[in-house]
Amino acid sequence: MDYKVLASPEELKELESLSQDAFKKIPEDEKNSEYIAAESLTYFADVWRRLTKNKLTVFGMIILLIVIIFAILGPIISGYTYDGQDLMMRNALPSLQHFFGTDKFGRDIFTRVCYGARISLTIGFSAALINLVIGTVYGGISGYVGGRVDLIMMRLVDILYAIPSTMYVILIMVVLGANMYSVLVGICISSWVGMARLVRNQVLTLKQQEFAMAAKVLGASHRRILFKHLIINSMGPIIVNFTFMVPSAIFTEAYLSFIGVGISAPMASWGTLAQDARPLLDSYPIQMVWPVVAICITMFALNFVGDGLTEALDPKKK
Amino acid sequence: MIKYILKRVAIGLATLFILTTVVFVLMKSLPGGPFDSERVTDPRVIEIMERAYNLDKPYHIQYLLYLRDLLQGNLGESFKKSGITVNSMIVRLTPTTMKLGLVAMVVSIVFGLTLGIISALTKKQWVRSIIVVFATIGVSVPGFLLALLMIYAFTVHLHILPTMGLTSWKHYIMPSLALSFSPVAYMTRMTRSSLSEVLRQDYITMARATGLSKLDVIIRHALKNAMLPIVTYLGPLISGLLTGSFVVETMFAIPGIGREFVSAITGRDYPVIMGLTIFIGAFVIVMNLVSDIAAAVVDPRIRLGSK
Repeated sequence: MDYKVLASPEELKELESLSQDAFKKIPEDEKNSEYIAAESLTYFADVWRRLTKNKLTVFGMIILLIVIIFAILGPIISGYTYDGQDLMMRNALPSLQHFFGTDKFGRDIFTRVCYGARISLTIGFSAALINLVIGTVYGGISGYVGGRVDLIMMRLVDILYAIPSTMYVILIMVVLGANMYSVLVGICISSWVGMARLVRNQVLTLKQQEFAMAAKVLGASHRRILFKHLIINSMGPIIVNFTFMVPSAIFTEAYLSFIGVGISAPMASWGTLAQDARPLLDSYPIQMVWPVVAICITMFALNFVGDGLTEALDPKKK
Repeated sequence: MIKYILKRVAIGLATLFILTTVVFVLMKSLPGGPFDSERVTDPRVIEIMERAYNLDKPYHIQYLLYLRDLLQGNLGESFKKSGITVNSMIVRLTPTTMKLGLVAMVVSIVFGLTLGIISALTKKQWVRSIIVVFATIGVSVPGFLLALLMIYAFTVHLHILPTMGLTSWKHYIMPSLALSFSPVAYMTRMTRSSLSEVLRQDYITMARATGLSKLDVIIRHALKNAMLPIVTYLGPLISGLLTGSFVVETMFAIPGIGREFVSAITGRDYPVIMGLTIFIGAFVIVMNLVSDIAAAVVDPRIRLGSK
């Protein structure tokens, strides 16, 4: 083995000839200036960083925040109730007194749109949350246990999947009556199957990997392996699916209310408001604008956030 | 292949059976009998009526009778319009819904594919941006809101398009656009992602390297393979168009299945709701079956993967 000569005698001589003040101490914070590595981040901090880089997603989040603020504070600001009628002020145009004008019964449209936001957002997020829980547990168990259990559980999913969920929701609405809870029940009965399929496929692939085997060897219980290892590792697709479930639930609710089987009077969701404004389209088109704009910007915002999350959570795009 | 088809058919039949059972249970769990009314009816009349409709029998017998009726193709009779059967409604109304649905389907496929292919192939950033914006709008804005906006613009304001019925080609424009709006957007997104995925594959580079022209490669190799996910989408597309037709037919006063279904729901005409649910459900199941089998025919991976 030959040793590398670090400095030739000439170089050494040159070094000795240098005075002390040719060297200086570098400040503490520059010590690692040559060290090149990405900042160490947790998984979710990393996702958040990539998410906030996407301008459209940030825009969507801001819009969503504004909608939520209006849903909470709107009725307080306006000082009206959603069903308070003022027959002297029917079909009023927007003014300082009524920001969005009034409808054919003299009800303040701004307040009704804000209440609509409460209904739509509540339905959207609770439906997505319930679907998340049911779908994850069902799909997780089906994929983890496998074999005949998986076969039977997935056949049930296939059967539920084959009928458009709108049909189920309509049937449930007919039986349970038109209110927010039956819309919620209807949406939840049919739409968890997509999540269940996704979680099952994730668990099926993940359970064959080494870390699942390692957990098993270490004596982790089945429940622990499934929920603390397999499902946590499929969180990315699950979150993406969750964010797209919110707008689809909001859409279903608006659709049902629009055809007249959703939220019924005097409560009003955005779909109901659009439906109420339809006969007045040629005389008071302004009344249609508000619910339509509210639905569209919320759907836009949610889709932007969903698209951003899809990209931020996709490891292939890192 | 035969095994795969048989399995799909079996699932389809099971779905139909469960749907009919659910429909029956829901119908029976509804409060109030069909002969309740404000006027006091003689109990003997009710008894005769109930016997005529087999309502005096226990539930499981009723269920079997109901299944027998369904197997004979008898979907029941309207409560509200006496003497009108659901079967006659279907015969009368289906052609209209089918005509509109077919137009909307052709529009969805043609526009969706074209826009998707353009945005996957173009090198111009602005073309791609426009298509992305359009696709996002299509996914976000519900079709019935688009219909409202179109009615306001073209009927209330400009008076150039009619809104009632389906009698001339002009009547088709707004309903079919409203129906196909979001399918076009989904189709565009799917075609774009599927085609750009395929274009990255090695065999595309290989095909180019053998000296085939760019157009040849795209048409003969890329598009053919990019079509697979799109074939699978046809089933959901049809069921989407059907459920979309409920609201679109109601808005444009088109005498089709969708409008009849909505008016049965708002009028609480239970036998019609149930009969039409089973009919629409069966139709969707058959369409899904056809689309699944078509996908398995063009893509051997599907039928081999899920043996």
